[in-house]
Amino acid sequence: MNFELLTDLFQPDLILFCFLGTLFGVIMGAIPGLNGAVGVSLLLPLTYNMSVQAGLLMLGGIYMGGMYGGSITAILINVPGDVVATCTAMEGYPMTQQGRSREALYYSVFASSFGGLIGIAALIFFTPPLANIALKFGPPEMMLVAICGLAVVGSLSGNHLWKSLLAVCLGLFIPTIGLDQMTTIARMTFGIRTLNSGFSTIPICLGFFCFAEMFRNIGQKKAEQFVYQDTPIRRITVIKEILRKPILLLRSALIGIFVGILPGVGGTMAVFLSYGEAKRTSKHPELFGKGSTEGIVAAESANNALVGGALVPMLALGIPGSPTSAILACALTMHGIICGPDLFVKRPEVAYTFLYGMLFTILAMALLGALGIRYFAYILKIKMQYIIPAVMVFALFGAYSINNRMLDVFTAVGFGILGVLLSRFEIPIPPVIIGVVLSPLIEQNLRRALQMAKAAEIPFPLYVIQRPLSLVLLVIVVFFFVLFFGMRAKNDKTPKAD
Amino acid sequence: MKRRMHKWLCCGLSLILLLAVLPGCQKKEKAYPDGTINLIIPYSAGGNADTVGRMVAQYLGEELGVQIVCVNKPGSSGELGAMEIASAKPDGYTIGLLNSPDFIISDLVNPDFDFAFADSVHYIASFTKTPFSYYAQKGSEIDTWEKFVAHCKANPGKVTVGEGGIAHRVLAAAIMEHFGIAFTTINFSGASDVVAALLGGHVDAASSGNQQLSSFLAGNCVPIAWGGEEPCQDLPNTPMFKDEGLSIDFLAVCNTIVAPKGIPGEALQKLTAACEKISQNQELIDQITATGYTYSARTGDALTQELTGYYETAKGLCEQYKELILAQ
Repeated sequence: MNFELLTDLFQPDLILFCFLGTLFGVIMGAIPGLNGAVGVSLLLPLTYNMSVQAGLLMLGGIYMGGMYGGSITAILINVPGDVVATCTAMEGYPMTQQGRSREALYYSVFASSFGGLIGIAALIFFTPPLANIALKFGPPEMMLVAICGLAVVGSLSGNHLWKSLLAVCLGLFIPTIGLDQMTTIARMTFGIRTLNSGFSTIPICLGFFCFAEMFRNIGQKKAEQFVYQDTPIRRITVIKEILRKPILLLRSALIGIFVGILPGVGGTMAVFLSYGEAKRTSKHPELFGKGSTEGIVAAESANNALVGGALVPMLALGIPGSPTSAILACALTMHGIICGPDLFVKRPEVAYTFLYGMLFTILAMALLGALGIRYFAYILKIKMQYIIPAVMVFALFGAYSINNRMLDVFTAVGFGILGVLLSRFEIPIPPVIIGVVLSPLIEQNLRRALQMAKAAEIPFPLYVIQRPLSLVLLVIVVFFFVLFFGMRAKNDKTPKAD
Repeated sequence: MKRRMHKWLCCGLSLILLLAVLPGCQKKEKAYPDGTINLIIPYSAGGNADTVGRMVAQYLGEELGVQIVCVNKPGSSGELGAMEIASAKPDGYTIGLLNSPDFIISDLVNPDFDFAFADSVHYIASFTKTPFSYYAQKGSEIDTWEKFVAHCKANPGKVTVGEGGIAHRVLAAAIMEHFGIAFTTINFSGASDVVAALLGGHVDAASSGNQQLSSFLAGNCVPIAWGGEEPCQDLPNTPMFKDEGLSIDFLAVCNTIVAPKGIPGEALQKLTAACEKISQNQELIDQITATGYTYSARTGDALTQELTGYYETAKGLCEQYKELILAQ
């Protein structure tokens, strides 16, 4: 590190825009329906007239903040502001109901900060090897990684295994509706042209988590009578508790980083994988679903570590690891800078300033959380009858803003109704989301792998086994399935303390 | 007493609101453009088309003196956005960016695509003309075009070529016909996935736009056949498709500004004039060139003629190879 870099980094406008970007990102993440990607594309035009470094760090701040922001509404009103906060809602909301909302919020912000820190550290020190690893994952490997994600279903809540299986199969089915990406043949659209692009993931999640939750609360006396209680807790205590379980933190962050470097795989899978692993290896798995801080740490550190991971292929190869990082790459291109190995050689002042500057975003996020959380929790003081319409309006606008079309709004409302129905029958929703997110990954990569095997004239199973990385992943997949589903059998045998 | 007060309040508010609306009812003849223009981009934010669209929007907006807001409407390789543009209100305040050859091929091949090449939009200006090329890993057994053709002839169907969309499959069909070879195309979701696949060695070759050249070169891959009009700047010895007798400029990616058919003549004129003006702006040229796209500005009738020529060429090929293009 040379001194020039330090002077570049400590420019007041850079730091200011970084902090503002992170704040904006947290707000975007918190509002259901909006997320970091929307925030980045909204403020992208503003960056044209800024210096490259300041603009990039502002957008990077939005990305990082957005990954954390979703947890705020997830914990307080059981509505994840962003899909990646789903697991945080599963653990954080029960804690709010127990009067421990502030504790949950502190766990979430500090876990996000530590996870983000590990992710950025990986970005700074390990970009070349990580980028090479990312390249090794071809279609058969991606298919196996996605199937690995399916195994997590085994560990998620649900009294009956068959209900979880039904849920995940429903989830796998939903994204097949629409125009097939590879052959442009319309599947199950019944001639309705707007359905050609299928149902987007974000409106589906909005429906299942936001609208369903709001629908469930309408007309419920007990929601109206919820009395806001908040046990104060010291921030130091929370930080110490998180650091007392370094393996949990490190493993969750690593899962986030590795899933992040794989192009096309989003944060949701990292979060569920990390959460599932945390539950499997926890000494108190029965707490999961009832307010386990381990679950929050696992989920939040994974989704913020993902940011560092997703930036690796973008900076090193010019291949964005996620839609949000694609927009960041666009911002660079607008300034005439092409991502790739050349970036570090030709424009080191941009590349290195960005890398180290991302540390400011983590600081911003931590400060925001540490100082602002006691005010966030005041949302709970607002009566539910005012929250419901406000959230629904935001969610409707958010749903429209994703792709600027009404189909997404109808999708959100429709899946909201479906979500209420599913919960009436005690069919768990998280496996549906896992299915929805993984379905295109599994299907498209399976078809590509089949084509590759056909071209090589080798039977498909043999083709997969012949690739060393695929073989390793196959073993991991089998291992995970046995572990996660075996865990269910173990839980079923112990007497239920309902 | 309270009720009466409420009644008066409501009446008062309604009156004030009505008065506020009245000025807007005046019919004034204002010059075009007189307000924000929406530019519909049928691709997702951050992609190549989106980048160029935003650059053009910036300069066009400055030239016309209004704000141009980019609205992304992705889906089905640009079909959804294209249909939106075609069916938008033709008042001059909604324009769009279409990528040739995507919409041309969709028009020819997809019966559900509610868009007619000649009747749906006015073609105003195009800023790029970036053809496709074939790439392979340096040092592999197919790292020159001769080797590629020979290897395909010796092993029909075994060579895998990664491609990022239906336009590339049309190119593959053209190549297979012209050179009398057969290989398998593997479809990926986008240009960067194709780059990743070739860099990682998961496919033997890749069909990709020229703008990806820098990514390929950085990953130790080389172009084995170049699709441009001019030889490749970095590797001028690469054989060109046109020298081998295969004309593929109908498949070049042209980012084209369009407007729905039926917009007022004044609007069309002003848009075309503004696009012509900014097409000579060196800053815009530099910015677009920096993305890797080949800059080439055509406007108005000349552009429409050029695109019609491409349409006819594509028509013949698509009819002949419909199965291959759709059934992969």
